[in-house]
Amino acid sequence: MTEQTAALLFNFGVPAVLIVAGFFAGSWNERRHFRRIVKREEELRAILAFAIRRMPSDLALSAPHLVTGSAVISVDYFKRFAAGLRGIVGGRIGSYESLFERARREAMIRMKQTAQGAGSNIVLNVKLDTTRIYAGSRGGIVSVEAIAYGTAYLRHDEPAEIH
Amino acid sequence: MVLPICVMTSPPKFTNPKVPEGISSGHDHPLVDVAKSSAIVIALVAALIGGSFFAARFAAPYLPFSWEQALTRQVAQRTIASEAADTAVGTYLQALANRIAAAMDLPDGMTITVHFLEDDTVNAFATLGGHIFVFDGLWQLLDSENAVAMLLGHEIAHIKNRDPIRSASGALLATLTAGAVLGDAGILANLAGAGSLVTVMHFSRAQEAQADIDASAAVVGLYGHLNGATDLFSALQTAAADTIRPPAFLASHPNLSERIAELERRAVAAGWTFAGEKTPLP
Repeated sequence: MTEQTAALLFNFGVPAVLIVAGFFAGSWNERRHFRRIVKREEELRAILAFAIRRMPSDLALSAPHLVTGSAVISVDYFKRFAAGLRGIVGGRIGSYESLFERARREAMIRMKQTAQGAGSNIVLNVKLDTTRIYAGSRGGIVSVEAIAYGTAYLRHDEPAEIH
Repeated sequence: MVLPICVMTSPPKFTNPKVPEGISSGHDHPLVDVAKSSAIVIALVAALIGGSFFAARFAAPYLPFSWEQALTRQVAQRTIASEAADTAVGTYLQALANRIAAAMDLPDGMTITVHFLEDDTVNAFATLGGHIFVFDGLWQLLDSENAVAMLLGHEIAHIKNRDPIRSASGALLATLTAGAVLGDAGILANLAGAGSLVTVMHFSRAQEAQADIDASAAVVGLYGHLNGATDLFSALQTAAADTIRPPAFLASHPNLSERIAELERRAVAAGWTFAGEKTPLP
């Protein structure tokens, strides 16, 4: 094997293996995470969450307190590669859309779990923030954090209605 | 400013209905997404490399011939040092090439240097800087001066038409573009390095056809007829039957019979005759 072949193999072979490995591991993780998200969202349907800022006058609410929930999800090599290609040609970065959706929904679930643990059943003025965590000087996204926070109350007038 | 007032007859019901999946993400399968964007990227890279290849081929003939000579001076000196000591054949070929070059009306400053290599390879080629290499293997197959003149005329025509610099520039710029785009300039630039300056060039079918026509015109100009000129081709065809030692010339000059037919058509159109006396080799 010449030095050039070795260098070519190293330069293209190693990333190729990482991309394939990233695809299988990443897809498996993502499918599993989405299944768990859907299951827990269903379990927490009784905890209502709204983005309205003021306390509605017709609801009997008590015991307000701040609740937060956050989640950090890592990209995989395949997602980064797919996003890199999109960085050249433009368009929706599908691989990051699912990443951010998982982070947002996981953060909401954790916020609701916090509210439930504190005996609340409704969260108002819910806000969502996301942050990217970059790796060193090369500046590639390595993971995303989503944080959900709001004001939790105990609602007395009626049990939460589930449609 | 009047604000609309919303009158509610009953208090609103606060609910969180289940949100359907696949709105914020999951539109394309990840592999489909990657396939789509890779296809565009590959098309762009190919267009860029192809574009630089054809741009270089187009622009190369405008480079001064002296640059070509300067580029190959060192390599040529090394080659000359290693080639057979000045043989009678080499001297004869150079003298014949000079006569043909005069008949072909080369631009000012364009020089032709013939190198005779004592090697069994059945080949001859023209390369950068006006250098022509003729191998003993091919020389042995030719039995008249007319055939040798056709061969030299063909190679001189490549040089006159700037074919070597067009091929070399196209390949070099395409390789450099590929290296720059794919981010591996070092390795790829090495592949197109100085080692390939004096080497067999690959020319297009159109370039070969043009060289045949130019060579024929020169041969007719020198001898008044084309008799013996096509012996070059028939000798190569005969040699092609020799599977142990197939002519390397054919690897870079495919479609031999097509070219003979084309040459005969052009000869009829130009009024060139195939009747005449062959000039023997000295």
